[in-house]
Amino acid sequence: MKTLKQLFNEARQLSLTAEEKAQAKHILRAQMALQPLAKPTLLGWRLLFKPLTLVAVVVLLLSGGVSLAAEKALPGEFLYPVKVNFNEEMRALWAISATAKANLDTELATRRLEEAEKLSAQAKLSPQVRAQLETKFQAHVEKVKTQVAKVASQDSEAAAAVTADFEASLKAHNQILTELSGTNKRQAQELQPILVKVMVEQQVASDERVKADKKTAARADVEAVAEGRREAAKNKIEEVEGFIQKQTERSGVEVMARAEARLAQARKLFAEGEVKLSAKDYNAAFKLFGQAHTTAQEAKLLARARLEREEENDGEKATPTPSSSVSATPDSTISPTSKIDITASGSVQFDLEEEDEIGEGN
Amino acid sequence: MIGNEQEKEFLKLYDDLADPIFRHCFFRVSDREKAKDIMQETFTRTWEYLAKGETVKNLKAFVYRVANNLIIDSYRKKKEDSLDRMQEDGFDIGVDEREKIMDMLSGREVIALMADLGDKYREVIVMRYIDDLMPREIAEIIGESENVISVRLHRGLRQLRDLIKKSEELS
Repeated sequence: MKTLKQLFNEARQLSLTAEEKAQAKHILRAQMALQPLAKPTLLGWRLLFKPLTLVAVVVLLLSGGVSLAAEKALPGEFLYPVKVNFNEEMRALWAISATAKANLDTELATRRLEEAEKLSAQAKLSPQVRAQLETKFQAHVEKVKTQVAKVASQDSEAAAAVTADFEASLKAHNQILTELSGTNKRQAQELQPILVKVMVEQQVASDERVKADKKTAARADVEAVAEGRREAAKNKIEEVEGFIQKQTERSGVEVMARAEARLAQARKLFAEGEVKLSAKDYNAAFKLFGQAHTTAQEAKLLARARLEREEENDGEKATPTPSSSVSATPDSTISPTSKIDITASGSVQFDLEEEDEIGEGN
Repeated sequence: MIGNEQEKEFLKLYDDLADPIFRHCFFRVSDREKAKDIMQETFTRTWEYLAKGETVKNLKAFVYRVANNLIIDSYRKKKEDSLDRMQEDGFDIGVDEREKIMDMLSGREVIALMADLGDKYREVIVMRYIDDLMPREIAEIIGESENVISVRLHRGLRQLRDLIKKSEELS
């Protein structure tokens, strides 16, 4: 009899025939095609097996300086592509529900307006860039509409809320653009087309809201809707109160006066809603609470725009901040003593960072 | 397509491991067709697991573990089948088939020996001396410590030698 070693060596010679191996591979291929990988990734095999690594990379990029600095970049600047192609695309990945998508596109549409406003205030808005921003703004607006229609098919009240936010944003920027246009002839001319677009879309959103409100009024649970909106409006007003108060301590009462006036309007509408609610006039009540909510939102957007302008002025007066969005060349249309209330604005994504810079400026 | 690269890599893994896994299955279940089926099933199951986005640290060890589990399942199934057949036909199973294999295949002497070795030992012996896996790898696949594997290998070899001695005495 053979030794164990010989036996094992012989055993190792055993294999499939080439045909058997090819056939099994063929079957395997078919099965693989039936069940493609759930999470394909451009970063390759290793990362596929280590989803945590992928998350870590994304977090690193999102929390990293590049991505953060890019948030404030304007068209034509080095980091602007990062802002639009990476930061915003990443956020789009996380926005899964139709509501989240609509809210995101509302914000992105607003951002394009803010960029146009800011560039115009810096006298850097070329016709090409303006055309691009207009196109992008319109694209985001269309996406908002599509998503709102989707939301509406399931939950008319949720759709009404999204539309109201969108309307508030357009309303605030209607004001900002109008005032910027009043600054000088150049700005009036270059901002005119965008302003018209905003006004049109604001009207469309407003009509949509009225339609949605009509539907809501016909609902059997209109009392619950009124209660829900009351809560939402109350929270929003409190949130904006806190925001404005904090900024007033920093920038002074005068700077926040306009936003404060808008907030007072929101409070007034809310109080009227309360009266209607206790009189059991739920139809009137839910509309008033809705208006209070959007007015408070407008107040916040106005405060934010004003804040950015202050920050920009500070940046130009003192040493330039590291932020790429602050122009090194002083702009004659903006000065601390200027009578314009609202000038350039950019979106405030990272509050802490913003506050640090404001703190330095003061 | 994005998944293309991964698919290619997985098919390469198949090219590398199809024979070793088949061989492993063969010496565990003593049936060429069954070994082929289990080999095929092993790769399918592994792919399904990866397709779900699950994490695998050591792919080779993972494939062996899947095969090992399928082999153990097949033992259980065989037992059930046997019981069914016992109820229907009486006690005449298994013997013919084993003899048939021994006639037609290389490594048949090993099979004959293995048949008398408990599966606990057969498992590690096949992995170590036919699949050429290191005790560390075997430990990872089976989920035992390296020490346990070494002891099992030692005892398994001793049993095999005893079996050889016995068959020599008989002949």
